[in-house]
Amino acid sequence: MSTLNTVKSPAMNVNFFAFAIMPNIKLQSSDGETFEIDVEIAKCSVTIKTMLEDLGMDEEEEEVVPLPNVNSAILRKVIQWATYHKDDPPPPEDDDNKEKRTDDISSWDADFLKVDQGTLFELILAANYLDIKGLLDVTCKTVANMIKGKAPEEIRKTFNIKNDFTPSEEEQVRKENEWCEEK
Amino acid sequence: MTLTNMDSLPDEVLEFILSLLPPYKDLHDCMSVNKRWRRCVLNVAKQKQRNLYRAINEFDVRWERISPIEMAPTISKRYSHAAVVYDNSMFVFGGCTCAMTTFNDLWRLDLSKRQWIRPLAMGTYPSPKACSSMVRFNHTLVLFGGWTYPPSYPLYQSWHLFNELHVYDIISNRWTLIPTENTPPPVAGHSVSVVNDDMIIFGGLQKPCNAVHCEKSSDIWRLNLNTWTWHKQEVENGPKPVGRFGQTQVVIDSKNLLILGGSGEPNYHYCDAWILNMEGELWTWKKVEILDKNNEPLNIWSSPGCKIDDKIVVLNRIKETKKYPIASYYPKTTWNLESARTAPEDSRLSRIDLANRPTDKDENVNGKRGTLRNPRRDIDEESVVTNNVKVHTLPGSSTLNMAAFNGPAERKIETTERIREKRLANLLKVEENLTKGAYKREKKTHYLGVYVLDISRVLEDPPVAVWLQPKNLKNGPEETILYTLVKGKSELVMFGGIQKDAHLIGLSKNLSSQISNSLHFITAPSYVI
Repeated sequence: MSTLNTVKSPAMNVNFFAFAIMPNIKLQSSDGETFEIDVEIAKCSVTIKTMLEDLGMDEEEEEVVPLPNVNSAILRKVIQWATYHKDDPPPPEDDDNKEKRTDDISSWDADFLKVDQGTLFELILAANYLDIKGLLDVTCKTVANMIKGKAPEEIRKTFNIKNDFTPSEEEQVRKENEWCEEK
Repeated sequence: MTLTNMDSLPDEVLEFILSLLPPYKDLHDCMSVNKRWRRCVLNVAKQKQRNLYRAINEFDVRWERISPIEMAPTISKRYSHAAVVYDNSMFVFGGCTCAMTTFNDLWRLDLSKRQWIRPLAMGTYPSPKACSSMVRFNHTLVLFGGWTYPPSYPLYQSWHLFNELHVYDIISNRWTLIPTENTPPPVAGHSVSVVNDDMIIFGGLQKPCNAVHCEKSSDIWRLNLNTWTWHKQEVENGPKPVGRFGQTQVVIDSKNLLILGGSGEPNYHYCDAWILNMEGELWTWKKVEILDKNNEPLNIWSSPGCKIDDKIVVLNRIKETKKYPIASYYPKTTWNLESARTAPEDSRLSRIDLANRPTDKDENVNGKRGTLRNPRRDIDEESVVTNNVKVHTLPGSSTLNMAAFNGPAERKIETTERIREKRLANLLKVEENLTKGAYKREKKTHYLGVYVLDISRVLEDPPVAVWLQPKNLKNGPEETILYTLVKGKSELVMFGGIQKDAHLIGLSKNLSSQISNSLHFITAPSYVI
C-alpha cells in the first residue's frame, strides 16, 4: 500500500482524535491499488469532494473511494501533482477573467509533464474525470503548445491522428475562410 | 491495452485544448487535421464568437494590454491612423504624432503571434497623412483621403487635404497609385464602408476646388472597386444628417448603412444616428430614434464604433455613478516609458506646477465644485491633502507612518507642537510626492469603458436604436481618443491614440508621452468546459 501522507493543518498535530478521524482518505485505483492521502489533498478533486459531501463518506473512516477510471501509475502522478499544489491559493473569484495563456506553465509543472504522450493524455482524462481544474489547465496547455505553429500534417504526425478527409475535401477545408465569422 | 492518445479524449476536452490556441492561423490549421477536429474547431469558433457577443451584452469584457516594449521591433506612437483586419493580421497605416508629423508607413500586426511586422512595400507610396480611410477589398487595402501639414509649415499655410487613392496589394506587397476621374474633393475624417463592389464614403472635412476653408461635408461618394470610377451619390429630398467628420459608419446589410455621431465644430459633437438606404437611383436617409440616451457615451466623434453582430461597441470615458462603482482596475499605461526610465522631470517645473496648479480636484467634491488649494498657502487644507495623498502613496509612506505616531499613549500627550510637526511632515511628504510626479496621478484620471448601442431594430419603421444600460464597469486604459478599434476573431483590437485632454496637461510634459502605441485586446472571459 502506498502512502503519501502529509500533515497539513496544525490542528492535526495537537488533536490526536482529529488526526484519527479526519485527515486521511483511501483512494483505490482501477487496478486495485489503495492510496492513503490527506483528505484535503484529495478534495482538490471536485469529484471526490462532492462524493464526500454528498455521501458523507468522510464519517466512515474505513471507506475506500474507488476510482475505476484511473490506474495506479496515473493516480500516483495525480497525487504527486495535488500534493505539490496543495497550498496553492484557491483560484480567484473572477478566474475566468484571467487570460488563458499557454506560456505560463510553472517550471515544476513543466518538469512534471515531461512524460510520454500516453501518460499526458491519461493525466488529462484523469484530471477531467476527477475534475481537477488546475491539472486539466496545465495538461491541456501543454498539448496546446504542442499543436501551436504546426501545419495540419505535422499535427497528425505528432499525435498519430488519421486523416479521414479526401484530398479534395481537405483542400476545401483549407479554403474555408468564413469559419470564424459572425453568423 | 490500447494506448491512450488524442483520439481517447472526449470532444469537450479536445475543444478545451483548441480553445487555448490563438483563434487565427493556429486554430484554422487544426480544421484540416480530420473531420472530428474540423467539427470541434467550428464549435470552438462559434463558442468564442458567442462569448464575445455575450460579454459585450453583459458588459463583462476582459481587457488585456500588450505594451510595445514586449514586442520590439515596434510601430511608433501615433493617433488618427487607419486600421484594417484581414485574415490573421491587422494592418495599420499612417496617422500622426505629437508635432502633427504625419506618417506613410504601413505595419502589419500578426494577431496570432502578437507581433509587429513592417512589410517593406514596393511601388508608389501614399503621402504621409492622418485621418485617411482604409478598407479591405479582396486581398487589397484601399486607402483614400487624409490630411497633413506641409513640411515647411508656414503659419499662414493651412493643412493640406488629399484625394489621392492608393491600393496596397497584400500578396505582392506593393502600393499602387490609382488615377481616377470625377474624383471627390480632398477630404479627411470621412467614414467609409465596402458594400458589394463599391467603396462608400460619407462626410468628412472637405476642401472643394478653389475654396479657402474646409467645410464639413454630408456628401456621399461611391467608388467602384473594379473599374475605379467615382460617382457622387444623390439622395432623395428630405431630412439628412448635417455635415460632419469623425463619425462611425457600419454596414447593416447589403442595402443599408448606419452612421453614428461625429463632430461638427470644435466642442460640438453629434450623437445622432442615421440609416442610409442604398436602393434605387436616389438613396434615402432615415433618422434613427435613439432610446435610453442617459446610457449614451459622452462623445462619439473621436471614438470609433465597432459592429459586433447587432450591436455597436464604443469605448468611452466611464461615467462615474454611485450605482456602479468601478470595481476592478486595469493596470495603468506607462504613457511615458522613456521618461520613466530616464531622469525625472525638471523639478523646477513641478514646483511651478505646484504653485500655480490649476483646478486639480474632482469637480464635484462633497457636492460642490472645489479646487485643491495650494497647501503651502493654506495649512488648514491639511485633511483634504492627506486624504488625497493617502490614496496614492505606497504602503509604508507618510500616512501609515503617521498612523504609527498615533499610539494610544501618545494620543494623550499630543500637543499643539506635535500637531504642527505632523502637519509639516505631511506637507513635506505631499511636496515630495508632487515633485516625484505624483502630481500627474493625482489628477483625476478617466478610464475607458464599453458602451453598447443595440442596433437590432434600425431597419424597422421607424428605425430605433437603444443604448444599453451598463452593467458592470470594467475599465480599460486611461481615456484616449483618435485610436482605432477593429474586430479581430472573437476579440476587439484597440491601437494607438492620444490621451484625452493632452493639450490641457501643460507644457511641462512631453506631448509624445501622451500618445500611445499600445495594443489593447477586448475579449470575453475565457470559457470553461
